Amino acid sequence: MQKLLRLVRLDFSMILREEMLWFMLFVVPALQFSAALLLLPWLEEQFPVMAEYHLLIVMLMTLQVVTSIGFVLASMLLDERDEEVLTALRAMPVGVNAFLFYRLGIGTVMAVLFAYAMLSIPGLEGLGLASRLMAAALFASAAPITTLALATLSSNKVEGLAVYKGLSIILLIPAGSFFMDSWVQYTLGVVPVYWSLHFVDKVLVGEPGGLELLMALLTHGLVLWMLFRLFKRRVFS
Amino acid sequence: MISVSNLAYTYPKSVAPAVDNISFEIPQGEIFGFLGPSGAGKSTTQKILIRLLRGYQGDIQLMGKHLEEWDKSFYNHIGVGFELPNHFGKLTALENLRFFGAFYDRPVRDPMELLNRVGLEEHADKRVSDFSKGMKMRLNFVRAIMHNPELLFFDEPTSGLDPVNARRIKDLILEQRTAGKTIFLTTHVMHDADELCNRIAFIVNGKIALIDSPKKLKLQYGRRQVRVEYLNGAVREEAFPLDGIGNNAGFLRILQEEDVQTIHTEEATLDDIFIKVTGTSLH
Repeated sequence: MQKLLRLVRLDFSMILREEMLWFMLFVVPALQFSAALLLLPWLEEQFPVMAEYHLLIVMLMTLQVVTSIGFVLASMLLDERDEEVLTALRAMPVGVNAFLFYRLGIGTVMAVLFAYAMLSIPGLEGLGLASRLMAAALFASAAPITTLALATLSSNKVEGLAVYKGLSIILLIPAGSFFMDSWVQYTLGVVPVYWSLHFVDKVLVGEPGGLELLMALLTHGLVLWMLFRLFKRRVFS
Repeated sequence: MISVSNLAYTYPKSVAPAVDNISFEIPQGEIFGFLGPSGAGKSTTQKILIRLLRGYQGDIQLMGKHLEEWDKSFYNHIGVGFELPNHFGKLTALENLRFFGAFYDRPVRDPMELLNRVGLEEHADKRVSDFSKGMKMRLNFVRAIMHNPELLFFDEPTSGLDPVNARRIKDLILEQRTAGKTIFLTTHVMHDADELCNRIAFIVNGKIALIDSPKKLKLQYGRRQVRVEYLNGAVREEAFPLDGIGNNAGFLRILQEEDVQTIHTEEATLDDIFIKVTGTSLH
């Protein structure tokens, strides 16, 4: 535990030493949270049509928060790849897999906390503690997906920023399903976020959302597994 | 300590083997130099020995166990000084050592004491991204020895170092040997190999061309003679056979009557031997 705390402390030292990283990790989520808490109710008052989409807007803002955490960790991984630190870690008793799990784990834990906070703002009272936690965990899974996608598909931070923008758009696409009635909406289910959005939607209308939860777990798990393998192949072969 | 038998490795998508059926043994407490030009198979061999490359043929035993039988605890027993520096640039030297030190399941040496040994104590709190290559290499070195491993792998440990710091590192390597550590040294700097290694192996095109001690090789491939340079109007030079040199009248005359400038025995250099044995140069 002491070792883990030391690693976490040093990780935060690295984040605090780079402006973009602490901005994305602390300022962006704080701005999103403030906007959801203060700006959104005001906007809904001014434009009542927006109130109909309160849930969807909050969920998309939650996604934005967790992907910004994923971006920070991806930036760190890209640096570590450039600095060949990952090679050094392969010759350590901990192994690079454990290090990557630690990194992704820290990001996911933070993402769960931030997502939980976002999903606790007024308007989503229908979510109980368990379903809110589950929803937070599902949304938080977008953080390691973002981290691995960026670290795998980009060669440096500038490319990472471009991939981040592209990925953010892809993660928003499932929101389109809320404006569709036909079966076509299920095709958007290839993006795992689709199932997270619909899980929360179902729970809030009093349904169990078991299928959505199962599909969310499966699709997130599958995408994470594929990205993890791709990342290792790209970096170590 | 290390026993390698018929080791071969071919990279995926490659036809020619990078390591071609090599065998060698390294007893405990020896510094073993692995010498060869770029692309000869030195680093591939080292990567296999430190378990970064799998899929090899042959048999390898390290510290009494087959390489495949080792788990992650293997890395508690070995230290690796990579050819290129690899540290967290945003962390200081001290923070880097603490970070990596946290991964070992055995006591690690005081990071400040280690930094002091390589002249980095004043830079302990400086970010590694602000270090020169030589400073990073010294940090690489102390990271490899910080957990007091039994077996050390160094890849070009004096690369990028000025003579003073190269001396420091070489002294520390010799100190490790005195402490009973076994060292696998990959280099193409013949002078370092000559000075540090108990035995060396020349590797070319994935094959070991020769293994022996530097001293034996230099004598074996050298000429048993002494070359004397002296002043007699102009600089003159004469060579005498080493056998019976004490009774060689010509040699004794020069020593007694001439203004001797230099006297050298003519053992071969490792560079000469390498070229002779492999037909290729190291540089």
